[in-house]
Amino acid sequence: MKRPNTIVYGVDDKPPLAITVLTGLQHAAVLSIFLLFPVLVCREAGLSAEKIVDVLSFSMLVIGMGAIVQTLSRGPLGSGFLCPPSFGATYMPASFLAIKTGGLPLMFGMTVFAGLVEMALSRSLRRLRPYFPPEITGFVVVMIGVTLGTLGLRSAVVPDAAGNINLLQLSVAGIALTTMIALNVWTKGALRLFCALIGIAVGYAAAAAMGLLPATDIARLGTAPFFHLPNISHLGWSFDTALVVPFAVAALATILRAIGDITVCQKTNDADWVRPDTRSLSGGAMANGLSTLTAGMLGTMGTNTMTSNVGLAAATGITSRIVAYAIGGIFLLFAFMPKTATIFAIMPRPVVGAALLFASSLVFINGLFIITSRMLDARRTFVIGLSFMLGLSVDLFPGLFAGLPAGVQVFTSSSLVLGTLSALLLNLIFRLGVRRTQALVVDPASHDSQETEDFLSTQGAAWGARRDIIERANYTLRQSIETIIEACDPRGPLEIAASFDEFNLDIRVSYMGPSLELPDKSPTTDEIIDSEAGHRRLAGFLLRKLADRVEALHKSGRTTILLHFDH
Amino acid sequence: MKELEITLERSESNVVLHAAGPVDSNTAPQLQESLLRAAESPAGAVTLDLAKVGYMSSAGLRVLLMAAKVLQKRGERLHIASVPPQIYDVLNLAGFTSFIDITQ
Repeated sequence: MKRPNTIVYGVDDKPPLAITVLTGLQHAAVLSIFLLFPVLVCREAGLSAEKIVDVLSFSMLVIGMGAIVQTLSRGPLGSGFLCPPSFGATYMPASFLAIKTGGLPLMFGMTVFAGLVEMALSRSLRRLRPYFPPEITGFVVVMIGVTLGTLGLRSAVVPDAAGNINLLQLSVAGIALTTMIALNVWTKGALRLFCALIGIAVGYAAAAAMGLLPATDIARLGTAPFFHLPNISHLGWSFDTALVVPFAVAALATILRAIGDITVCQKTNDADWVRPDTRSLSGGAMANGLSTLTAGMLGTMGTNTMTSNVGLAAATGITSRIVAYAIGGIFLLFAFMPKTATIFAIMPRPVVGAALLFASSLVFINGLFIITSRMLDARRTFVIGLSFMLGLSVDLFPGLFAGLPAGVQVFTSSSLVLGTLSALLLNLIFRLGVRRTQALVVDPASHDSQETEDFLSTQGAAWGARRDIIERANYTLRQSIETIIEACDPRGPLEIAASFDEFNLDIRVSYMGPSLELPDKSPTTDEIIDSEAGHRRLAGFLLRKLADRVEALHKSGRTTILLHFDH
Repeated sequence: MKELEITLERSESNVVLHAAGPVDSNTAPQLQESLLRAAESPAGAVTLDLAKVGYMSSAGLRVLLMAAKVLQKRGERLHIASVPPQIYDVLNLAGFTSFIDITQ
């Protein structure tokens, strides 16, 4: 692993104590914003403010422990990176459904189940890859954004029983949201970094000024003790098979998000990063599963890795896992300080709405980026397009599925569940007959490297291959043809065959002539300059590094170079 | 077959070479001639602008290495500007980022 220039303190470094604590506080501030999700589910369950403080104390314990466990880098648990968890929209629809059906005990019980599902899935990531391609990961993120946005609108607009909108509440939401967006768009540094937190604070002030922050809530903050042991009277667990599908889908969405976040951690920390490290992905997903399981056991909602904190670590250049210990320590301390939890427990509803709307925009666009990282062919267009519309139908036409049998209604319980299931099913159907092969013959005497590039680019677009993989394969193929022609003096044409099956791109270059040298180590600079052999070794070294797997076979005078790229 | 075009921009303290087109075994000698001439001249820094270069093979990397060595002898470093991500990755893999100044 080679540290990029942008990283000040890498994952294995030990920053000075002051920097560790300050960076830990910065991360803790960002993670705290997401405590509004447990607040939302507790309010949906009709829990009193005192009990919400207890739930938040346990929620902080879960974040603290999760941040530390995620840093483990040996064995099956932990990604080895600074990638702390918090609460997000992924478990919102399923948690709301559980509260409606069986109250908080059912939500806690099903969260334990979801944690177990996450842990089980984390062990089979490689085998499951064909069923969860990136466009489906992106689609799930988009649907989470839609869910967040819908919830945010409902919280911000707050119509009364007659459907009239409360303009005062709408104003508070507007002020909070405008602050967040303005700071995010027009400022830099700390103001931009903490735009959500500052927006929430401004929202509190506006709510207090407009009389929307009840005096009892303010008094509660004053009377909350500095230290206490959280009460466990809200704890209880139950299980309902009807909720297996919504929670399993949420667990799946969480795994997909963890894969995305940990991949970014790997790239951020390694300038030589070429492909995801499966052990780290699997361990990270397993660690988050353990956090979700612990969350259910301690009486709060499921967790997911936080993209915002992964971004924060990259932006500050401090990715040391020591910072995760600081985050853990801060939250373990906050968990026993009810004043901190009370601040979040009394958050006015329009402020919650503003924060959700702000987060939904970022999540939605993040999802779109992941989807468009693929070249979208006709199959993917329909997988994403149809599933999106089907998912939205749950919110647009709430009565549409009311007549279905109860057993089927679990599949239509939220836009996230229906959309994800539809995408998974359509993806399975469209996988039929996906492996395709194309051939090209190159004459060494009149070789035009542009022709090779056009061949692979055209095929890549037709196959719907990822742009970054096609670009890497293109470079590797052009470099191998150039080296073969320059160094191996091939007799007759070079025969090239490229085949693609969604998860593998294999290129076979076959010619009559001696084999290529594919060394593991780069030649020295003097060797490269002083001799043609050194230059050829550099070319061979690049081929070995650029392809995910490379092999040279030589038989009866014919050499075959096999270049494999994971897709 | 795409050609490589190189234009020169010279000031008192700096020479900037703007390359456009692929740098492969066919075109690398052309880059070598221009870049080494700039590196060997007594004028100060040498910058190679790769904004319009979509492909650079190991032959191109070798030329960069030669120029960097020449510049190193008179206490200068080679600067490469507007490096496309694909070429940056290759420079990084080859370990060239430690002795060449690169801006993406």
